[in-house]
Amino acid sequence: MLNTIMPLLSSIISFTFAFIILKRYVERRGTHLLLWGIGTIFYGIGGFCEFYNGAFGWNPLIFRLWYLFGALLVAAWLGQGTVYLLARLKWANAMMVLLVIGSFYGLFKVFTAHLDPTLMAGGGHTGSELSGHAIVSPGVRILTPFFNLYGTLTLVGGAAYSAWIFWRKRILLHRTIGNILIAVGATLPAFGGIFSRLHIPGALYLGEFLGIILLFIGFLRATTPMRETQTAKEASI
Amino acid sequence: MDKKHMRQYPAFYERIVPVILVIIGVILIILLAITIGVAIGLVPGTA
Repeated sequence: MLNTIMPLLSSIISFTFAFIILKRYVERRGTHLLLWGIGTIFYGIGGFCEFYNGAFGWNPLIFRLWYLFGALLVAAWLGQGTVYLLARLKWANAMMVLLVIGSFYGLFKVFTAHLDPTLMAGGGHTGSELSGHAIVSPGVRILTPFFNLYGTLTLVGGAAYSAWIFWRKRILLHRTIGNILIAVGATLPAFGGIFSRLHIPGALYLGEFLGIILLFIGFLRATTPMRETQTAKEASI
Repeated sequence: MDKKHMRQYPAFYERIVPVILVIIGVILIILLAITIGVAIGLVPGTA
């Protein structure tokens, strides 16, 4: 259940979320929407690979796709969308170039790495969940924290910063709430990874599942204005 | 009219938003510390 249904649900929610974001991109444009759409597709691929591994067992291609999209790239690409939203265009473009180069380097390293699935049962993992421990070749897993550092800083930091700006100006309450939900949702997969290393089975998949739900709700909240009359009435109480 | 009082969020949000933002800030610092720890080898590798 934990290793099949939850990642499958995460994947379905992610692809649905990606469809809504990309539909909005087609209607309104905005590079941030395109990158968030790509990032949520990566999230969905990661979830699908976890489901596949739980349901059908080990497959090297599935593992490589999971590591590349689910462990290495997803946070950084989502965060890059936020960079396009908040930073100057020339800085965002410069970081985008670095991210694309880094992503292709990661693709090369992941798809040329030697794998040993028996190693997934070590290091606090049960072996029933996908884990980077299966990668034998050096120089692959060390890439992950750098991508995730950038992704966490930009996605969580950017959402929290946006919420702070709206709160300070006391405008657009729906965007304050939406950005808070996005910031919290983005931290949950990271916490899932930490708890997973503390021998809590299913923690990573649960973190990813709850994370994508909060990200989805946060996006819908941030893009759906609240009724002014309702807000004003509550404010006057 | 004092500009500060021109616009306000509902009372619930006035109280809860800054608290949550501070908590998110602390969590972000912890996550970044762990991630940097992993990157420089002080913390065992994640995924």
